[in-house]
Amino acid sequence: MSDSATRAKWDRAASTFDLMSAEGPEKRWAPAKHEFFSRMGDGKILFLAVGTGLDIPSFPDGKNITGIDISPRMLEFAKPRVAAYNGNMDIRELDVFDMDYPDDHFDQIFTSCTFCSVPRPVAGLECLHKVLKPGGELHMFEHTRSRWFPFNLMLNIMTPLTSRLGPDMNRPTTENVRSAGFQLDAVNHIFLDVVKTIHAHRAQENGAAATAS
Amino acid sequence: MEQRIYFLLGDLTANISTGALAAAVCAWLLSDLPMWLSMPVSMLIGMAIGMVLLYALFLRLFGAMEPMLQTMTTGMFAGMLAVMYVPHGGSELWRAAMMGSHVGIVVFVLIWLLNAAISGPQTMGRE
Repeated sequence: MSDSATRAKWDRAASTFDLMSAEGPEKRWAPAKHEFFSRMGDGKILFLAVGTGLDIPSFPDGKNITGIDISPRMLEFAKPRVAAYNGNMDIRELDVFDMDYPDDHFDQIFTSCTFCSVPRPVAGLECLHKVLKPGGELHMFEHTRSRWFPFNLMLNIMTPLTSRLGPDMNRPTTENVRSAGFQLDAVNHIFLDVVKTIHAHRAQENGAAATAS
Repeated sequence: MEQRIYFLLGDLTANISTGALAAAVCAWLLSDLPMWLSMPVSMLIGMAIGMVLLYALFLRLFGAMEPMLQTMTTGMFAGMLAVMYVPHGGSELWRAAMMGSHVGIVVFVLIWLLNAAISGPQTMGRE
């Protein structure tokens, strides 16, 4: 799928996104997300795929956050939540594959239900790896495929349908993080082995060389 | 691991109603078909009913992945068991619905136990 198709897909989804996601899913995940975003530090933070900004109320106050999203329609809905954030947050319409930040720029990168949707996920994660400082942290709140029947069957059956409207349901995101060159620190299951947080970091340069060899 | 009463009761309600509806529909539509055909078709119909109920109602109330995986599992097994054990179609729909609701309770309990066993920090990278 081309990037313009991805942008169009999420622009179409924007007007009904909060209707579907703002109540049940966000309230259910609120405790886990508060704990997840409490890892935000004092450096430069990139938040990938702001969407309509449903995650912003879970951010700790006083952080320095750059948010990007491929969909301008999504960002229109996010603006009031960005304005209400008690900290420094800027948002931009930007595809992860088109990021123009210098290499080694961010101290931390956060994603929330993002890499179920990014086309070519390993390449997308490699783009994040590039703009993250050596030793910088990647924190992801994602849903992934399952190892177990019948959940793996269901997620595989659903993906051809759901990917037309939004996310894939059967991505091996933890493996993708490794494939993109990150060092995995921890994986924490929120619901079964499907909803999880993934914590990784970019190796220091000498560490990266050792890993590559 | 989920311990909030609202979401636990929500999951249970979603499972019971999905199981009852999936079993009744599958018994009504498929019980006259040969078993080799009715079983796989009923599993697909049961999953589809679970998905429709999720998007129509449960997603907005109780969450996304959690009710989805539970109701689709319930629908799949309730539909399959309905065509196996409720063979006389229309006259037995109430019986099928009761059986489907029991399947929903069993699925709710099993998934809660499975989730209790595997939630939390993991051996890294296994999925």
